[in-house]
Amino acid sequence: MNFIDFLKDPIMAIAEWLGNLLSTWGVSDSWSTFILYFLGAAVLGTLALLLTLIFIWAERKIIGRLQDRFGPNRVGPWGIFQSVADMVKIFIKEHIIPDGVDPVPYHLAPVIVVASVLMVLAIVPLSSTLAGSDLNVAVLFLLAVGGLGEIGIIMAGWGSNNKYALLSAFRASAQMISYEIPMAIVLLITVLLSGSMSMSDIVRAQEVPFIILLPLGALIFFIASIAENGRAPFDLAEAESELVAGFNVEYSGLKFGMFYVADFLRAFISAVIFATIFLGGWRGPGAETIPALGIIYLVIKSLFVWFLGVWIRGSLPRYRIDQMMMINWKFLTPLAILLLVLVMLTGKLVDNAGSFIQVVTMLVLNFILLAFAVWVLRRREKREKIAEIGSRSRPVARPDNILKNNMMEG
Amino acid sequence: MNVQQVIFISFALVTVFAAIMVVSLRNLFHAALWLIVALLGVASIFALLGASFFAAVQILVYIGAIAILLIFAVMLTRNIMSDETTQTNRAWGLAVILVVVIFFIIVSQISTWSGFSQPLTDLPLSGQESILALGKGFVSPNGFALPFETASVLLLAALLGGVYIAMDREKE
Repeated sequence: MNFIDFLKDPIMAIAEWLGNLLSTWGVSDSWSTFILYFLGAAVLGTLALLLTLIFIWAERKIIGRLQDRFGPNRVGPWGIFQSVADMVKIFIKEHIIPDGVDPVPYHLAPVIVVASVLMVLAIVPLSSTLAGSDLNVAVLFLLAVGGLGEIGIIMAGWGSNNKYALLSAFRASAQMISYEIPMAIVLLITVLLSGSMSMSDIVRAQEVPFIILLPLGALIFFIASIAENGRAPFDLAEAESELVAGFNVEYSGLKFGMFYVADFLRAFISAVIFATIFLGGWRGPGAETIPALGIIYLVIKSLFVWFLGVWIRGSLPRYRIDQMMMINWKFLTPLAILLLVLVMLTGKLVDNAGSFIQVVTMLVLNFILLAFAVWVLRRREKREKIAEIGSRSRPVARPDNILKNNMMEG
Repeated sequence: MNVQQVIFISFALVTVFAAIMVVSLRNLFHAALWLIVALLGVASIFALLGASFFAAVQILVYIGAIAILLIFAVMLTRNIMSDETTQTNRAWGLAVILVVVIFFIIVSQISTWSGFSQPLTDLPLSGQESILALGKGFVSPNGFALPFETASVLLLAALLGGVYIAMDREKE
């Protein structure tokens, strides 16, 4: 095997070499598969956790710039080692365990939360050859793992023996359960379009990326995944002004760090999922023949989606809890169900037409539905006067108020 | 012993241990958490059998929805969290005897079935095909269309009942 071939698909080449090595040592096939998967999972998990250091730095830097600040700029060039310094600080901090905690849930919760985030990586096809597991129910697995994260959060809230933490855990899990529904329905549409629940089949079905077929579905999925991650404008689980700082108030040192890491990692991994489902994953020019390129394409697409999320996080103030629930149950969920039914019907109608006609029909359908949704929202806005707290000249900081004022001025 | 056997035995032991903990712990919240472990163990056994759909649905429905609902109910019910409440009442001995008898009846009945002693074989389907076959089995009239639809009617009734109970009747 020459060097160029190695570069084309380095990870599979290493895996093959290790497999051969194990079989010459006389390890049976099933054990060597087990060892290879175990090593792969360990490497992927560790790499993802280390990458979080860079993501934390980048996010702080970007949000700093968005808010007209410098962001971290002291440690290293452009403050790039700030997260390393923070990590060292978190490692050497005292471990404070408050009185009256429920020990097992309290100590287990950070592990479960981080694990539930990392487990998602198992089903993402990183390139045409490299995937942790080509599970035939990957879409369901994605939702199921989200449920495990909820359990972790409830355990943290309960175990802390703190009423603010418990309230926040209730909020967070209610939010996650609610927003799973439009997410699941949109995932169902993509399963419908690709005819498969496996992630690699979904990627392979995207001759035309699903974001072109389903722009509205992608929008719903994106909003739902922001809410699922509990990031601004849906970060009311850690509303500092009312709930101190969320379900992780009572955690200190490394355990707090685990929640922090899970938070930032989840933002990137949900971007990876979005890129896989809607932007074609590893697909790109030459990715079929040179699998190493696929990883690069996937990372670039994910970084773009991740940046959009950070942009939103840096720009919008948070919603109130009733507004958050209203957005989900009265807007996103009905819209997603409507989209599912319409895609089903029109998909069957244009089943025999050419692929160009199919794409155009789907696109038109999505935009009609989007226009309808916006029309309904506008009518509702006119009909219902929102009671504003504060004076007319200084209205309450709500996302839609800011958007409206900017539009009027601009 | 190959890997599958090692994994099966360890997960089965964990599942049984967790199930015993569910019914023997006094702290209801801990019991609910052990229930989650038991459900995860069942899901992993489904996964070992190659029934990935059932494994995923087991986690999604039973852990993601039902266990969380259970925990919410436990947490929001007053006075249920105190450790003074006992897990058993006076009839526990009778219940144990009944359970043992029913267990032996079920096992003896199942063991007369011809498929009981046959070793499991792999499905002739691969990848998506097994899930497509499952879906077709659910909706085909020769398969399980009637029980499937009946279950969905039952769930709809439960949903309507939930909405009715939660409805704010003061306003009307």
